[in-house]
Amino acid sequence: METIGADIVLQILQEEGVEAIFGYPGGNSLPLHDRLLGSPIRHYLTRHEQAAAHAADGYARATGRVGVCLSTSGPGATNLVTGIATAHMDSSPIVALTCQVNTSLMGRDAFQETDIIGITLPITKHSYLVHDVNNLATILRQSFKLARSGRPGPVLVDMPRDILAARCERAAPRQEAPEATVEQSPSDRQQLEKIARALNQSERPVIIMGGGVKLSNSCDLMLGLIEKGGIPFTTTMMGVGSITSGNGYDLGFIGTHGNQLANSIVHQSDFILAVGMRFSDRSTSLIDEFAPLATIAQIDIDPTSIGKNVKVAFPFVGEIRETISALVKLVERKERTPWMERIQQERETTDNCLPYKGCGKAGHFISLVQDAMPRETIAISDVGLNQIWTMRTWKARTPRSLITSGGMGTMGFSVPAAMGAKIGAPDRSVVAICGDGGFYMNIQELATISYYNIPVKIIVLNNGHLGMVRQLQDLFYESRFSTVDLGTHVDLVTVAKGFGIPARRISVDDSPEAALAAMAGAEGPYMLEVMVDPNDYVFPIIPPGHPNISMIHGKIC
Amino acid sequence: MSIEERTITILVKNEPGVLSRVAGVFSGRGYNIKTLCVAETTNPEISRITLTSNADADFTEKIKKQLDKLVDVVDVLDYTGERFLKREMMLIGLRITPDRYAELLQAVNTFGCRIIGMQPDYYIIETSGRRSENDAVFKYFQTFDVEMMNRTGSIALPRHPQKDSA
Amino acid sequence: MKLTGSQVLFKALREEKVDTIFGYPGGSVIDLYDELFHQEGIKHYLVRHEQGAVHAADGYARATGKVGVCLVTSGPGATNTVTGIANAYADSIPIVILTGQVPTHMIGKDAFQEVDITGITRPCSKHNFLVRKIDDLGRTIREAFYIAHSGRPGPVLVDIPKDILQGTLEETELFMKIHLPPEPPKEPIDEACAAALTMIRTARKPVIFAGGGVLRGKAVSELMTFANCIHAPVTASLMGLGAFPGTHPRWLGMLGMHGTYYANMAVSHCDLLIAVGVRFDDRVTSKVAEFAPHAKIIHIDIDPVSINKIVKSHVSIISDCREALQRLLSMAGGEVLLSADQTREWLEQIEKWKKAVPLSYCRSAKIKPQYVIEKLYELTRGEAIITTEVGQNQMWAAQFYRFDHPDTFISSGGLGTMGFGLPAAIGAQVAFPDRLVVDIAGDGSIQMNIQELATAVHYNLPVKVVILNNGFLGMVRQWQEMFYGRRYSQTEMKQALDFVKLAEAFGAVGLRATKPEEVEEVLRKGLETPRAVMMDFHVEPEEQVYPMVSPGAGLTDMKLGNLRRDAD
Repeated sequence: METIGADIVLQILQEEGVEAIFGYPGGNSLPLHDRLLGSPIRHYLTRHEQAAAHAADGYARATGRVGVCLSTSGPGATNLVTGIATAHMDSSPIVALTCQVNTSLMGRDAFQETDIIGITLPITKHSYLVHDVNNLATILRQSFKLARSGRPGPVLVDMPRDILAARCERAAPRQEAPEATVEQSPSDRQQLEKIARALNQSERPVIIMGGGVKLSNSCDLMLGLIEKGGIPFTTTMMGVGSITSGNGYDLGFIGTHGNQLANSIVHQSDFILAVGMRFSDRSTSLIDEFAPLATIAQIDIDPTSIGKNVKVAFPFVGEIRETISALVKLVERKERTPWMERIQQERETTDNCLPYKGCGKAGHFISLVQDAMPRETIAISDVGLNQIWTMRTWKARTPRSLITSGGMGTMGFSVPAAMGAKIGAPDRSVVAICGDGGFYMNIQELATISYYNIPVKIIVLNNGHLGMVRQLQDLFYESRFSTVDLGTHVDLVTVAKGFGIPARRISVDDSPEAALAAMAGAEGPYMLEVMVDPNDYVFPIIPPGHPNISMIHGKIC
Repeated sequence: MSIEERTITILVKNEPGVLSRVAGVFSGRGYNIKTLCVAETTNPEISRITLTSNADADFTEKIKKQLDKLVDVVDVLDYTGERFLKREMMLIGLRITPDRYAELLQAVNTFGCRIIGMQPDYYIIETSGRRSENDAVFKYFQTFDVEMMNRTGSIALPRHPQKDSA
Repeated sequence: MKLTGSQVLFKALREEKVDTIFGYPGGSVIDLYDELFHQEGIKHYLVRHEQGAVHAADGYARATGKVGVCLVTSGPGATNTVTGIANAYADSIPIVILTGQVPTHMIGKDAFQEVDITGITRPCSKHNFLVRKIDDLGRTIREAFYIAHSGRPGPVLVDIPKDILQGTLEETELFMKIHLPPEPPKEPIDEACAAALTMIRTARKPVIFAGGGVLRGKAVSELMTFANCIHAPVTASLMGLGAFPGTHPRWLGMLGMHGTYYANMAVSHCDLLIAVGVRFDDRVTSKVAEFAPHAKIIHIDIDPVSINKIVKSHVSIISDCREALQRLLSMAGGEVLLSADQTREWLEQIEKWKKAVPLSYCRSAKIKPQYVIEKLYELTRGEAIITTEVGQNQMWAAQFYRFDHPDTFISSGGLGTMGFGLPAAIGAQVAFPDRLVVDIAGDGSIQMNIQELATAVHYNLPVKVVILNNGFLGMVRQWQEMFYGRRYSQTEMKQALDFVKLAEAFGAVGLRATKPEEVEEVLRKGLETPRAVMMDFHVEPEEQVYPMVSPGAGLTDMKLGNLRRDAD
């Protein structure tokens, strides 16, 4: 068989070290899916393209490698949109390959034609439409590079069917351009010295870490900085798990559903070193009242994140690893006893004022799940109450072991992302934790999990409602519960079994040992449904539109 | 923060869809494009987009950073302010009767416009200059019988080339 | 009296006579849902995925002719509607999608659950709006409805920031009046109609080709009168099925890639093609250079963009279909334009083609999917509202179920969206609670939005799902058999999935047939059960859809498989 465009795609994927892709075929992907048959690349057929995109994203978040998803044209491509937007918001490196109608049909409203490049303009780091099969290799290589470099993000490549079927030569091997070593410029050096000086002179400093720390593999360096300088730290939700040794400097994570201690300490700080975080509204809450006493230094690889939402006295655009390596040499150890004492006092009053960190029985249950699973288990949450319960109670033991959809908050993310994570990291256990609402959203993936016997464990915390919205309605809308009742007429355990997955139901009040043992011990996939009271919420929270120090601890009757 | 008209010039690779991407950044971030002009530079692979937008002082820095992220954007420069010469062009089509020929010609000479289209009953005037000058010229010619008018967006160049960034 | 933005929105919806919304709540629209609590007269259906909400609104619109409405939150809620919006856009269906958005001062700041949905949907919606001031809210909603149903219908999205919903406005200042620019005067069509009539009078082999435009334009009875006036046979695109009765002797069946042999032959040999409300999609025309090669073409469509876009017409009438047909009929002055005698020979030739290659299939020990459809047609007496998924299931439904009434065939034509059928059936069932609504599905497609079965059960909507279960993504498998040497890549779905168990777990009724003798009983039982039912038919795995026009070939170049009967 002569070489065609489709072969080039597979050649470049292999060159990039891609072992597995997630996709769904269709008329315009036929040439590519045909050539996949002879390829060592494993293709996982999901049951909806949204899941293929989430799986590629989960793969990327768990491994640090670029995840790849593949769809046909038209509805296949549009079905990827939510997954691409999710990856975009959390800076996750994925390459989305969409097949397009023949170039001769483009622009004529052909069957299953859509302007996917136009549609995804706002949610991709970049995108390409391939016009010439001889550019295909270059474009694909460029896509992978873009996806993973700088601030990572999704890149889409739209490939018309005739290009995939066009005869061509095998692509010449990639020219390895020497990695440009970025020398620290003198003005950079000066700026770092200023930051170090301000940090050293501060009396109440805090470090805030975001997703960028994990993305740049700088967790160890940050720990070094924290320990050398003796500086308390917090993270955004995306930064949770960056530092895994609970070492007295950890304040928990900040934000709407974060730790009260973290919110309070940040509010009192006089200097904030923000690393790889973007001051999103979920982290800062009311921005005008955020950290009123603090001078802010912000280090990020993406210039657009710096100073976007807050005034930054010491901006620094740079690669985090290099920057922190240099900074740590300039930071001095200070004892800052009054500050540490204050933190300790507040910690004693706030950290344990609510049982199970305000996550109640569900939170307790999640900690039992963690105890039952191996140490390096990856936990992937969905969105809603289940997300907050998980992010607050699951202790991340390695940087890429706690994964969540932070920026976009996509319900239905957990199960397909867990699939992708397991395929990317087959030696680790993977647990998806979701609510009944999120579970429905990509429920069809139970078929995929069953078909490939992917041993993910799924915990469904079923309270029969859209719990987070219900909580908000209960607290702030005088308990007018509108359209949040999902009902309990569906037997989720039998649904799972109908898809071919063993499953079991318990109540959150039951003693779970047997069920957890069954789940943890299962060789293949397993679903555990846990019935939870719809009145179990999460506290403390920042009420909408309030500053981050105004957390409430319960329903005010 | 005062809202003023800001002028930005963007050098982009001449690829299909680039204009769409640039416009998308503005609308996605909530900025309105007031005028826009785009054409090839002396390098056919590079086009220049010049646009104006009413925004505050922060705008330029923020939009530059957003635009710099686009793969096809080569450079973004701020052409706002006194250091730049900004011009627009306008074409005015007006109906004319013989009794007013002389008046028209005198006005054209005074204003430094050109007559580029001449039919016995219909003239087309071309004028270029600062927007305020063009506005004034147009206002004057409205005393004739203006049938149609078309104007470009702004283009600009620095009074003297400098190496500073936008 | 002051009204909140949410109240203004509902007032605007009431002005538009909306009584049904499909939606899913979230943070950005929590105020709207709170207001919903107080609203009577509007029923909200909570789906299980926003894609289900858009497809349900779409199915509702196709079944009723009204504008369908859905409501979702910002961010992922909005992006989950994109496929449904693109689907409605491709088929010109009037729906209004209300999306929540972050507060105006947070737009463009990458806020939580923020996405540029107006940017994203610009290429795939008829129009969209971002409401920036509460003063604009009422008017914008009403304009959205107007745009959705006027001219060539289509989906319109209205993005509403949370602070707009929370803002207040004096009741007297509601500004509900629509501010659209005045409609350009309609081009007079008399000249074109006269030219068309002249062309018609000289034809002897006419064919009428009806598309979705006849249904959207509510021109069905005019089409019948017109067809009788010229004694012409009638064919339709997929989107036009139901525009002309499927049991009528002059009905040719569907045209195009999987159309009937006789429809494709008739169009290829006709001397006059009268195209009403069609867009000459590639599924219908195949190789454009060889489409209707002997015919003069009269093209009636409301959208000037469609005229001469793919196929060059000799006379074009840019108009609403109903008005155009009425004009033609009135200009004909009540006289017959072409008599039965004049088209007799032509119709006889068509009968020969019908006899030579009717739609058929070979019986076997396994259940044939075509048999299931035929039996379904028989048992429902052709009176059901049929929705379909996409693929072979869709084609067999179009071929073997005869649609005598308009708005009873609901199928994703232009975008070909798998997973459309079940939520669309829900939309149709909500619109017509007392009618029988059946989704014809494949085992691949039905999984895509299977979560909506929970929605159907929750609201006691007795939709019926007929799954033609062949363990494959059938249509892709067919292409792999025909053009890729039977190399089945990623199309096998053989799995442990038990549809009956699944149906019951969702609270519906599950039934299964694995032998041909069981089909009728299962169908009967399923159709008679007053609950949501899923029927799993294990059909012949490698059955092909015939006829099939070879890709890139003219319509007469059809693969017929086993269809050709022995000559008379």
